[in-house]
Amino acid sequence: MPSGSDSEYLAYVRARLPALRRTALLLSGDMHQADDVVQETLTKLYARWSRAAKADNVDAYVHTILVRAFIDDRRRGWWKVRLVGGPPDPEPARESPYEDRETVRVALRRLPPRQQAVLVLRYLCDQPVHEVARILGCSDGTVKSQTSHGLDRLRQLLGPTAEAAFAARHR
Amino acid sequence: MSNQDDLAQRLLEPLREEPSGRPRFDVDRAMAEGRRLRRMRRWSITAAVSALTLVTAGGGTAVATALRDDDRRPVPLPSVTAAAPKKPTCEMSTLPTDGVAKALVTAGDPSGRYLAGRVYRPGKPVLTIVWRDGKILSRTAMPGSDATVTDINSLGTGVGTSYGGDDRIRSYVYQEDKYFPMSQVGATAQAINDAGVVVGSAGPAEKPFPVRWPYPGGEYERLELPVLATSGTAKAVDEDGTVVGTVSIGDDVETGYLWLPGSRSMMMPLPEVDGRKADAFWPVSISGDLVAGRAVFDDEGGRVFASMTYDIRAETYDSIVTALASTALVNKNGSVAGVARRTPVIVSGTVITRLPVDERKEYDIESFSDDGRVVAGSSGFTKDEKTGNEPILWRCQTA
Repeated sequence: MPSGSDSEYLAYVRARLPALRRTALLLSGDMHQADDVVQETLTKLYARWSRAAKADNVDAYVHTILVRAFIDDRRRGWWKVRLVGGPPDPEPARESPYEDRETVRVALRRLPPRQQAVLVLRYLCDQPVHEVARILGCSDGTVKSQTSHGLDRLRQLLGPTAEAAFAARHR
Repeated sequence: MSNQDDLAQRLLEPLREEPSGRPRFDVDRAMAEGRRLRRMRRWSITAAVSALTLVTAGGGTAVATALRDDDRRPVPLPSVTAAAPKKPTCEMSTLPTDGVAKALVTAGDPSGRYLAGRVYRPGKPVLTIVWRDGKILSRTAMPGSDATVTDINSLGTGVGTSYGGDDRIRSYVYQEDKYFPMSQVGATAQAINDAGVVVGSAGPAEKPFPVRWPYPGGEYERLELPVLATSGTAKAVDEDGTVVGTVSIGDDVETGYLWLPGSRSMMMPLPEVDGRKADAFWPVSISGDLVAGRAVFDDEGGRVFASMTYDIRAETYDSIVTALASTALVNKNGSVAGVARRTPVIVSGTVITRLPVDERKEYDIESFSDDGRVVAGSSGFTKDEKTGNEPILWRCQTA
């Protein structure tokens, strides 16, 4: 039987799980990894629930946990678990939307995890600069700087042809 | 919405997707594990602090002793003649990583002896690594997160950046297996030449200004910006002290700028391609009289680039015969290394040499030696939605 505090926790996470899962998916691009990140977030949130429940903005608090879980996951080399034991998959067919997603996702993963998180939060989760700064626990200037560096690097990785193609296709 | 925001949204748009399938997470399991964490918290904090202290004290000494090596003088290699370019024969190899599967090359020196990069050890902090003559010379972690060695010179002195606990960028000098913080926090060291002159940028991210450190341990000095310029960055420095970078004037897109020896400086002229004047030129590298980079053309259909070299003395542009991705590394012989249509290449005049690759992987180039014999970079590949990287070295010979 849940305690009163547990009831609050459960009520909160049940309402927010779809949004948390979506953010985790946009960050990681992988449903399995996204669910792992959500699992870790739920665990840490429960461990800190007494503090989290008192936060001015519980959603921001939880997103901070989630984004840090994702960054830690990247730094731990989660990808290696699935890399062991075989050659890479063949490349997908070119000129398809699927290829767009794969190409951009591969390039995005080659960014440092914080830069990756900044770009996803700003441009896929549509969070304003100050909110991204709050989630990552840094200044607005750092978010802008990471955005600029991350975008430059992403453009380098995608190359001019891909960049022009994406820009035209998604205009 | 700014141009940057607009472009970012268009680039990332393909990644928008909604969750699918049955969730694998389990709220009950999270609560059970969360309770265990609550009980363990006080114990773990104490234990972790003790363990960290022991590793730092013991490990640091052992590593420093094992890696001591006094032979740091560069050995000049015979240069490849550029007057009659011939196609070199190149071989690809993977640089050693002490068995770590994921690693990157981020910089190399003009002699081709020194390379630097990152090693991603599973479950441990990322290490910066330096190779000499294809062998590991140093695997010491630069302090901070997201550490990157941005350049290294022929004496094995490197510069790089990382983010501190306050999330501010900080620059470091690598020398003899150690990293020393450079003087001012918030500055980005981008390049170093053999004389030890370091260039980069400092100031607010949205309005950086170009800087030069006369030597790695000194204070930076601002490089003068042209009248009306609102920001600028220094990207590369040649052996004679010529600095190339970009400046922004008003709302115009940033474009190339040269700070020449003797306190002279000049806007790089805008190149023309097929009778159309470029909107900007983005320099990437410099060697001797040549700057390599990309002409930028903006129109309603998007942004288009043309790979070019600029001869500082002759004040003329030449097109590179194949379109390169953003990296274009020029050497003293005027050859350029880069990636063309996903294939790493060396371009010498009209001669294009394709470097050997594993066709299933993509490649980045980060270093090209002055003699044209050493190219280094990284491979990238995907397996089960995850990205792997290997540090790659190509050695080339001309028959």
